Amino acid sequence: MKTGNRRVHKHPITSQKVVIFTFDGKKYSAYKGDTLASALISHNIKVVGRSFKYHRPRGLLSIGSEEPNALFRVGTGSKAEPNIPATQIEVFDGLVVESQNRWPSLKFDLGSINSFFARLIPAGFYYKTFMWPSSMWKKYEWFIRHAAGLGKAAYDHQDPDRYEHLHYHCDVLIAGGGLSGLISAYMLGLSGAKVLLADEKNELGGSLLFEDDIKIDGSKGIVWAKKIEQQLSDMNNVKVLKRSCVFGYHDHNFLTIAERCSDHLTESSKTISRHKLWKVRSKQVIIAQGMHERPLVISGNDIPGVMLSSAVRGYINKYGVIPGNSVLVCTNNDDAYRTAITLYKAGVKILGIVDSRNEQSSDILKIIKKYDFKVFLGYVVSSIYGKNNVRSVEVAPISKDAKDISALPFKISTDLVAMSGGWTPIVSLFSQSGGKLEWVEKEGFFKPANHNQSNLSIGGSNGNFDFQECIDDTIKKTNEILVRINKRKNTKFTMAASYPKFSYTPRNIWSVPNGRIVGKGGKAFIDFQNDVTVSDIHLASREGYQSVEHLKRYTTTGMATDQGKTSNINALANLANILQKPIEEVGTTTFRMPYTPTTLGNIGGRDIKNLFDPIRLTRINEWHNDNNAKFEHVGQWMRAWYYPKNNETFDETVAREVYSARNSAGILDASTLGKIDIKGVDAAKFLDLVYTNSWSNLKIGKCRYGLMLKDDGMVMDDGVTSRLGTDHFHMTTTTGGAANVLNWLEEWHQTEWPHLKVYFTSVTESWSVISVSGPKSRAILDASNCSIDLTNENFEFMSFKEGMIENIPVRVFRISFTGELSFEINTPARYGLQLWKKLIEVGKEFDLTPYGTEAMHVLRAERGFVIVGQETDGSVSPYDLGMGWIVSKKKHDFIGKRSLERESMSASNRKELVGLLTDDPKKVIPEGAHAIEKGAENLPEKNILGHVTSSYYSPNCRRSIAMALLKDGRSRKGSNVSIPLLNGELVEAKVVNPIFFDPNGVRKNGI
Amino acid sequence: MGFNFESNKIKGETAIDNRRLNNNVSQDDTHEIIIQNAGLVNIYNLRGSQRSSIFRKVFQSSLDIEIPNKTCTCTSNDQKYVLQISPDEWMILSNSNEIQGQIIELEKKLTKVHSAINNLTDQYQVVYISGKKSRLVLSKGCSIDLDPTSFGLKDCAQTTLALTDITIFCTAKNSFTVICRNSFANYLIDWLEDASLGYSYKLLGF
Repeated sequence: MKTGNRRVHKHPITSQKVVIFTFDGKKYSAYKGDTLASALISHNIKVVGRSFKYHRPRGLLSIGSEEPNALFRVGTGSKAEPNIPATQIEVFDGLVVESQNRWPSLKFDLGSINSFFARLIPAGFYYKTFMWPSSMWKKYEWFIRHAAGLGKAAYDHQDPDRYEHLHYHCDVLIAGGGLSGLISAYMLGLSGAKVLLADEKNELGGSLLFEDDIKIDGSKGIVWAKKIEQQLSDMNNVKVLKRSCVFGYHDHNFLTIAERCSDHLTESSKTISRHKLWKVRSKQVIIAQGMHERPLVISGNDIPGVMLSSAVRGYINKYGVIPGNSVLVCTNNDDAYRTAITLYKAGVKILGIVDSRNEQSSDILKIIKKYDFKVFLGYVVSSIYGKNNVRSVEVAPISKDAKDISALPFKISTDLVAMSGGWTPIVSLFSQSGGKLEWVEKEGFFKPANHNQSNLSIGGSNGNFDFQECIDDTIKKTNEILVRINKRKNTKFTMAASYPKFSYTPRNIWSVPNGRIVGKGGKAFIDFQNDVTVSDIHLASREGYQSVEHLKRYTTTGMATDQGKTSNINALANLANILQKPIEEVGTTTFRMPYTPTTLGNIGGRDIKNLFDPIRLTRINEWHNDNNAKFEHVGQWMRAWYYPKNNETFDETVAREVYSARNSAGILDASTLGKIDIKGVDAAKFLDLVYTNSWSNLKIGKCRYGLMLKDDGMVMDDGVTSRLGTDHFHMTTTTGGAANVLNWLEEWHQTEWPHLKVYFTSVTESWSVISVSGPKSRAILDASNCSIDLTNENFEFMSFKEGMIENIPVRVFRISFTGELSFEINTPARYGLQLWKKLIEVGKEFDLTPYGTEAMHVLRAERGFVIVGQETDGSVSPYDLGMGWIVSKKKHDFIGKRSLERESMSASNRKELVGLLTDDPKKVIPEGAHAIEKGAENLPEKNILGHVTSSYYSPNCRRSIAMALLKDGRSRKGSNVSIPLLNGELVEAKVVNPIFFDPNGVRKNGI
Repeated sequence: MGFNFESNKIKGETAIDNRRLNNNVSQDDTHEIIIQNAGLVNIYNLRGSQRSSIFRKVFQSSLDIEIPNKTCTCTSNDQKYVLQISPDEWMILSNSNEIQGQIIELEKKLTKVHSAINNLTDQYQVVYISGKKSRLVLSKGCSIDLDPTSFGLKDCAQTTLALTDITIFCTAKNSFTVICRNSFANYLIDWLEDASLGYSYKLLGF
């Protein structure tokens, strides 16, 4: 095992417990409280990743979630997760991490050969290189797929962890627990408001964690943060979430937070979630995400050992680890001087401070007097050299206009470059909320301007640098929020910070010149994660990709897991320079969620496996289950499909069920049919408007079949509706259409005809519906002690009666979807199972056969009854179905009437429903097959007539039957069409009337 | 309404899969979550106009309870709960047998008033959820604010729980009645049990 040693003497972290982790198969030690990043620095590991395109060795750049380079695969097997920044991985005993995007090893990566071909793979090379010849695409694709992406996802697709969602409502959500966020939470907490504070780190304090020169109210920053945290935890109205990133800002102040609950623990549990997705609705939102430091765009700025200045300082202060031996600081503002001071105090050799400005601020001059730093004012680091670590840099004076260096550079040997290219407020959540940004030229950043939702940005997120300014701005803004949530302002609240004064105003040189033309010399990276260089931006612009959104797509700058946190401003500014436009005219790309990546598991939550989607069951389901039913999904319903006996095949079972239903009797669970109770004095009038046929003349106790059209005249739903009373109807709909039909009725009632007095109530599940069908159905009901007189004389077809079957109350409809004598028995759902069992028992001696939905389909097809959704697809009118008889000619209006009168509705060439009989009676055409003109098999695609909508083997017709929608179908009756199959076979079929059995419909009265 | 849903000779069944039935019911309030099958509860849906004074008067005289005057609130007495679930829609719940007679009387009196009454006893499964973690467990799948300050006694809502439509109301500090369509009942119980993992929970009457 390797023990790290690059530690500041007696740093507090060294008193923590030692933990052991594994990196690329080797064991290393660290202290509890270390991140993987700080632990790797302590072991002097410089190369921590390989870049995406060129496979260049990369080191740590930053200390926070903005890290573009140091991405790792964490965990093993099915628990492995790729692309986690080392800066966000807390080290614990047993942690296993693996470097990515390299083969065979991090130090020696064969993929780095790409670097030699860099000239051949500039921005947009995919689009250029792989366009020709198109036949080669399959080959290219294999290589591209292998080269694309960063880390590898888990090998095993079964994620063993638990992920949960939680809804939360609060007065104020604060995103970010740094200086500003903590003050705001504290003030709001005192007011009694319900506050949720979320921070992505495992500790509160934000940048205070990494600084040692700030005191708040007399306490060192980090101590003050702990104190406030304690006070917040004592407040019942404040909830603090650590390791929780607010990653999405949606409409109406709905925000999503990804909480990492157990990633930092050795043991995980089956009952505790690994991640939790908080879905928060907050009255007000405070955005306190802080700022990110920008890298300088220098050639060679991606070599390991080139780090952000604040990160170097943070690693020393927070973790006591020192990332180099001799350091060169390069900057365009005062902040990097703080790093120099920290390095100095840690005893690190400082080679000099290269400051591109022509003069320092008066504040910094006073502070650095005692340190005797060697400062190169008006100089830049023009190039950085090294391979697996920085070896040397070139330093040169910069011209007044910053377009070139003004003298030959000189070399300095160094192993660490701490750079600061200015600071950028984090405006991601603000922008996601729809807020508009404004460009601040002096500071060189975008800051929030016009808010679109109920939120305020404070502190660094609002562009404040100075600590006291941050505090004052926070107090002011928090008071504004207090007023918004109807709380009293806290005018007495103050807080004082003491800290060395700095000037953060940078001299922005967006691309540091090195005396050569762009593209020559080393690469100057803008986007580290996607390997986008300054010359890529130039190339994209030359090739016409001058809109910032086009630039992003063409070069991929700002994409991938870091979403350009360190690169966005540099990319925009370079594009603006090239276009010679002000930056605000170039604008930003769209900020989208997630701010930092979260797992798919977290988004899925518990909607997995048996909870993925509700399975709706009828009340008779238990019997189907116990009697070997095979099920099919119908919407969310699980319906009995067929009931195989012994070793019967699907076809054998269906044939048996279909045969029995016509020759003795069949029983079907039809409970899933939609049912709507319609009541009110205008109920009949309303039905006249939504159905194509007439309803006002339906007598009480009678039923009628109805067809419902969309306003475009196309068939939408069908069903039988019965008149229970003068102003009372019972409507049935298709199983899948139930909810849509109710919505449809409500919509028309509420928006078009609110004057009609009618109410709709869904009663779908109040009733179990059992359909007993077949010549012996009447006998079975009689034998079951049905109190109703079921004779044809006293119980007409298309009517209903109420009564009892033994002790069970029933409403029986004499309607038929099979064409046989048939009774649809409705009973309150509580008795459904009992009634079913009773009928099955009584039916035994009558050969009553339970049949499933497949047999139901065959039975109705034999009689030529359509199924909406099978024979129709939203483009089929009643006339196309040959159902013109159901469209009233007398009614003044109904939904779809006007559309039916359009010329195109009666045009020739419309597809019409017909029957098909194959020449070979045993051949069943696959549903969906296309029918073509006979003899056109050489040019089938030019001669498509339509398609087969339903197709079965009919045991009662003793042959195959099919229905199809064919162009001018009805006029083709008697002629033949061909149906080419996928296997090359050509089936010949005759066009016939789509009624195959009992053409005169006599069997509905029994035989 | 006409149709008589009751059979005085035979007992009906609820939608919960019989194989889940566990008859060892004991009142045990030490659990953080208790999920209880309420069995068959009489439920009626009533539509009508809130503005109609006759409607309100008849309601009160027939059912012996005041009608709530605001959507998403409820009134209750020993025998029943009345939930106003939309501006012109109420849900009446009662375990008492008297309710049937009262509803018939109400319907008679409302013959000339535009209204609709439906017996939806069979349409729904009623589940009682209680215990000190009940609000937390429900929050895992319910998007409304279940904090006691915004969803307390007298509050009711039509909303969703996980992937199911529900009607929910608060009956005591940490006690809720959840009403879902009976075809979703088994899914809902599976979901509730899964959401309760990690706490001490108990299923009663399943």
